[in-house]
This record gives sequence, C-alpha cells and structure tokens, in this order.
Amino acid sequence: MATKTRSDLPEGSPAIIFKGTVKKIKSATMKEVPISDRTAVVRVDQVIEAPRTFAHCGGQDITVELAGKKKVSVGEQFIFHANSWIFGDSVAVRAVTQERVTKEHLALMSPGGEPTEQRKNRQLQKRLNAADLVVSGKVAAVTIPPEPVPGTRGAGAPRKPVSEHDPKWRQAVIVVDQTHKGKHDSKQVKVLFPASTDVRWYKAPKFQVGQKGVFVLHKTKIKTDEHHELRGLAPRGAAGEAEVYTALDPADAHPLKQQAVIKEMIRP
Amino acid sequence: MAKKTSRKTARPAAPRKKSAGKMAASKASTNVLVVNMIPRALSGESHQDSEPTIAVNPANPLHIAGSAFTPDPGGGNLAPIFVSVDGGNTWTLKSIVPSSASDGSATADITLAFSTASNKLYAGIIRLPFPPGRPRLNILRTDNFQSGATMKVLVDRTGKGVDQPYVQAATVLNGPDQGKDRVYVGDNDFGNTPRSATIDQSLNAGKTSPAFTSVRIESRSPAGQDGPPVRPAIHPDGTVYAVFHSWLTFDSNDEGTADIVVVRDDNGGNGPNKFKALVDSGDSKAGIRIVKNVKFNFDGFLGLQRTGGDVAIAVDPSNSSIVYVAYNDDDGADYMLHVLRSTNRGVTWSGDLRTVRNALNPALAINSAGKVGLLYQQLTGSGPTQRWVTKFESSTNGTTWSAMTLATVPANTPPKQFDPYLGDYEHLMSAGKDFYGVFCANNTPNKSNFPKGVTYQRNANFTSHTLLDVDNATPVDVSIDPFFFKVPG
Repeated sequence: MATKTRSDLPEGSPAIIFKGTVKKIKSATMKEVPISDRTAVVRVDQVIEAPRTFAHCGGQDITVELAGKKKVSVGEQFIFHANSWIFGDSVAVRAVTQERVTKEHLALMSPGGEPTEQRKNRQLQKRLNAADLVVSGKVAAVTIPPEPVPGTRGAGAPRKPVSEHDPKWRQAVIVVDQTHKGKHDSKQVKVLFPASTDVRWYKAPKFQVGQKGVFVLHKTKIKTDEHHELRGLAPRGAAGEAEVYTALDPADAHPLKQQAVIKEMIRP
Repeated sequence: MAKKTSRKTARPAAPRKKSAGKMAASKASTNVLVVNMIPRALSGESHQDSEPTIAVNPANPLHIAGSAFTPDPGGGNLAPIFVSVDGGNTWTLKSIVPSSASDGSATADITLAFSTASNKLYAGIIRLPFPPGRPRLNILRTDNFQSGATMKVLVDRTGKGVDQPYVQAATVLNGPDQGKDRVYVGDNDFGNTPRSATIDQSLNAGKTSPAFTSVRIESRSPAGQDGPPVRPAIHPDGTVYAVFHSWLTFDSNDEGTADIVVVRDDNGGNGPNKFKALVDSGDSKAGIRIVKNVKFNFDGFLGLQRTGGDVAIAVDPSNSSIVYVAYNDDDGADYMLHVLRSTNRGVTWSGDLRTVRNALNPALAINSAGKVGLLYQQLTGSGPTQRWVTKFESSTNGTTWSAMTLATVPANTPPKQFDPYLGDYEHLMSAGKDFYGVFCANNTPNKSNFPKGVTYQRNANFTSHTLLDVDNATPVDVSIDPFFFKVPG
C-alpha cells in the first residue's frame, strides 16, 4: 500500500525510484541533514529509475526523509519514489511515496536494468504520447522563417526586444518517408526549432540539412505579434497567430536506427 | 574610427597597449581560500555549471549561499542552490528553487542576496519554462536557507518578458522602518520598452505577501530598449544606486552604442521621485551619463564567452558618497574593462582608474575599511594556448592596484555546452573587511592552475590531473565548475 501524503513538494513525477531497506530511524548519513522522526538511513538495494547523478547509489547508504506519517521499522523494504534534497558527502532524498515491496514489484523489476535508460524511455514515452505527428524522413532545408509580405499584418513592425534568451527560430523542411503517428497532408512538413545555444534552448534539437531520423512533432500556437521573426508565418488576415509544428525537447529527434523502437512505443 | 569588432570570433588576446591604473608590487596574501563548490556526491558530474553568484549572510558570514546554472542532481522540479554553513570551506547542494524537470531542472538566470540583518535569503530568477522570447521573472524568498523548503514565490511575472534579474537586499537598521527588508531587483523589463531598465522593489519584502513595485529608471528614449544588465547597490543609510546600459543605437548586426547611466535614490526608493536624485547637466534628465557612446556587440564573443556590455557597481559601506562602477565596451577588436569612481554621490566621475584589455565579468565590492575589490576574467595568449585568467585586484585609493591570480586555466577546453560559457556575470561582495567571491572555470585538478591554492570536495587526483567519479577510480570529463573564494581584508 502506498503512503501518499506530501503536499510540500513540487508537482510532477518524482525523478528517482529505488528499492531500499531501512537501516536506522531518526538518523542521517551526513551532518547537513536536519534529523527528525522522519529521516532514516536507507540502504539502496536497487536503483530502478534515476538520473545519472543518483544511478551510482546502488549498494550505498543514503538519507531518506520518509513520506507520510506511518511508522516504519528497521529492516523493512520499500519502493521509494523520491526527489533530491541534499547532495554533499552523501545523498539525501525526500520520498513522495514509499510502497512496501510486494511480489508484483519484484516481478516488474528487471535485474540489471539500466536506471538512466528507464528514465530516458519514460521521458520519450511521454513525448510520444503528447506528440501530434511522428514521422521518419530527411531534413531537406533549414531556413530563417519567412518575412511577412509587404502590406500585410506585421510587415514593417518594429523589431521586438532583444534578449540573450532569444530562441533564434529556424524552420526545417522534412521530406517524410513514413508517418508513425498523426496525419499530414503533404510529403513535406515544416518544423520550427530554436537555433539558439543559450542555456534556455541548447537542449532542443538542432536540425541539419541531410539529417535523417525520426521526428516527434508537436502542434504549437504561436502569437506572431510577440515573435518578430515569425510574423511571416501568420496566415493572411489571421489575428497574429500561427499554428506550427515544433520540436523543443531532446526527445523530439532520434536517429533512424531508433525507428523500430519508437514505432513499438507509439500507442495505437 | 575604431575597427569594427568581428562577430562570433574570439578576440586576439596578445599583450597590447598598456592598461590604465598603477599596479602595486605583488604581495603574497596569506589565507586566501579557493574552493571548488561541487560536492563529493556529485563527483561524476560534467555539466557546465556557469554564471555563478554568491550571497554571504552579513548577520552570520559563516552562512553563504551560491548559485550557478547547475541542474537538480535528481532531475526534479526544483533547481538547487549551493549552501555553506562554515564560511565557504565546504558546500552542499540543496534543491529549493522552483523550476521544471522537463526543462532541465535549473534556471535561465539566478542571483541571490541575504538581507543584512534578517537572515532571509532572496533570489531573482528567470524561471523555466517560459514562452519563447518572454523570459519569466520570479522573485523568491526563504526565511531559512538551510531548511530545504521550497523558496516562496513573491513575484511571478512573464508579461512581455523580463531579463537578467539581479537582486540586492538590506534590512533597515533604524528609524520607523527598522527591521524591514528592502529588496531591489534590477532587470530589463520588455513590458516597458523602450525604457526597459527597471528596479522591481519592495520596501518590506520580509512580510508574508510583500508588494513589489516596478520603478522605471530610464528617463531617455533608448534604441528600442536598454541592455540586459541593471545592477543596484545599497548603502545602509538608505542610498541606493543603480547602473545600466542605455542603448543609443542597435543595428541589424546586433551591434550598437550605449551610454553608461547611474541613477540614485536617497530614500531607499521610498518617495515620489524614485531614483531621480541624479540629474545629468547635459540634458537635464534623471540619471548621469557617466560614459557616453560606448560600443557593444550583442552577438560578440571573447573566446568562448559571449559579450554584450557588462556593468557592475559598488558603494562604500562606510561612506555612501563613494561609488565605483565597472563597465565593458568594444575597443577595436578588443573587449575593454573600465573602472571609474565618484566621490560626490555620483554627481561627477573620474576618468578610467583601471582598464584591462580583453577582460569581462567585472564584479566590484568595497569593504568596511574602504578598500575596493575588483574581480574579472581575462583572456590571455593566443590560439590553443589561450587561457582564462581570473584575477582579484584591490586598492585603497582607486589608483594603485594590487592583483592576485585566483585561477589560470585553458580557455578552449572543455568545449562549450551552451551560452554563456563562463557566465554573463560572476560575483564579489564584502562582509566586514573580508572579500567573498565566486567565479567559474575549467575544473582540471592542477595546482598550477590555482596559484593561491585550491580545495576540491569532488574526487580528484592532482598528480594525474584527473577528476574521478564517486568510486574514486573512474575518470570524469573536465567541465566548468563554480569556485568560491575568500580574501581576508
């Protein structure tokens, strides 16, 4: 049975999932942790899903701030769903939920599964579920988005504020070989992506002419009035808004060799 | 006419014309502390942890917070801050800043400041995610930076976008407002173009739900907008200065000209004519143009670090009439750092007290004895032997400077992961007579890179010059890390 009580943590799925054994209650693995009734030293038996910085914790003792108020005992095993708390000489996490380990859990846990891959796959699955169009194809061109036609809305408007966080939009033209999800009328699809290498945008895929791959595309409404360089995308007479495909997440572009795996992951 | 700065190219950094300012004979300084802030449990990381700031708690200088573009190690929805409770000797990472896991668990800008007597820590951040082209301002507070509780959101504004929030804070020490925290966040608010230079201020930021007011400090008509850096400096007597980059021209190649403008408020921003105490005799407008018509390139680079016009400011804590400003401009193909001073509350200004070629990220502080500290990063050498040299200089009179090298590291490794490579700023402050600062640099464990010594928390072999993972055996790639330092006054 899961203990699910925390409201003091941010929304969203916890990023760290591991199986652990409680070794000591009201204790911690480093002095910087404020010890309470709910802090425990836990041995990490198996990291199930985690970023690289936690994946090495298998076999180590860490500090867990337990979720809920239910009593736990030394020696009990739990599946912890947690967020990071303190990284110092040791690691402390804050559990969002902890579930007693059942036979069902054990059956689901593939021994030797790579925790970072599990996390990556879950993130990809999320992007695929949210995608409007998933295609395989080749990037035929990368262009600066078109300027508005003189005399139309937005033409000649003053340049908008300049910021180092400007996405520097580019438009990639993809020649589609196969459509794996969604519908698109043409053999070509245009995708907006940020060419900027600023800290805000560097992780977004940067399309290159000749690049072959599987592309996970998302319909996005953009207010062209607020994006100087996109004014030319607004349909004539439209109220400064354009619906475009974007690819903004690292999981939105994959090499062609991933095609079979991605097709398998797309839900019908 | 000066040669046009080439865009997107590293400037040559060979020694050139003599820089301004006399250098004192180098005196070996004892007890300089330099610490790599990455904790041991993150020994395996190789992220570009650039753009650092620190905040020393004036009420307890053992308590120091730091920040950089460091993501949450757990990949969650909170970005971390660095925390030290022993004066910067050791550091942990605590994730308490609102962010977004799907956008990298970090921020797109972050600065920190403790108020002087309340123990409250404030942050100005660009919060992720934000709509393209419209950075989202958050002003945050925690009453106990050790607690691990998520920082409280005091301001959450996207509007048309807000850039480079830079927070400073002070507690009112006497008078009717005694005990109240005054917080000033300098930022570039696209919701008020072209006069975008703004101070978002609260005169009682410590209360449960403080009100913040956007004070527009640009009185002229800049070319579309002001530049990103807007930096406030607070004196305990209620004087608040701010410096900003007032754009005069800006062309389609992202090159422009600007005035460096200083504004002042004598009542902590509490009155009808906020930040209008200084009037320029040339055009009778608020804000003294301390340097006119400097050149900048918003798309320029010095080595792997982008440029675009830096500014910094510090006021003497024992005399609010004395204020120093540092700024950068394009000088031919070079990026020149300048330091100026006013001794009459910003009314008139010296010429260059100090210039440094091809140096950026100036940070200034003045200690309780009136000594001014200057931190910067200079690109030296050429080609593959180029190095980023991080220097701390100090002066008791503004004309004779004593310099120490804190770090000298290869400039072209590691490769850049994103912009900014080192940061669009670094930070220096004083507490009493001591100077505290932070910079980012290549983290190769090589003692000759750190002439004043260095301590690593992360695993490292200083003999083989290799970083090691948490197992203390597996090699880890070199990356950019934040380094804390303390120079006794």
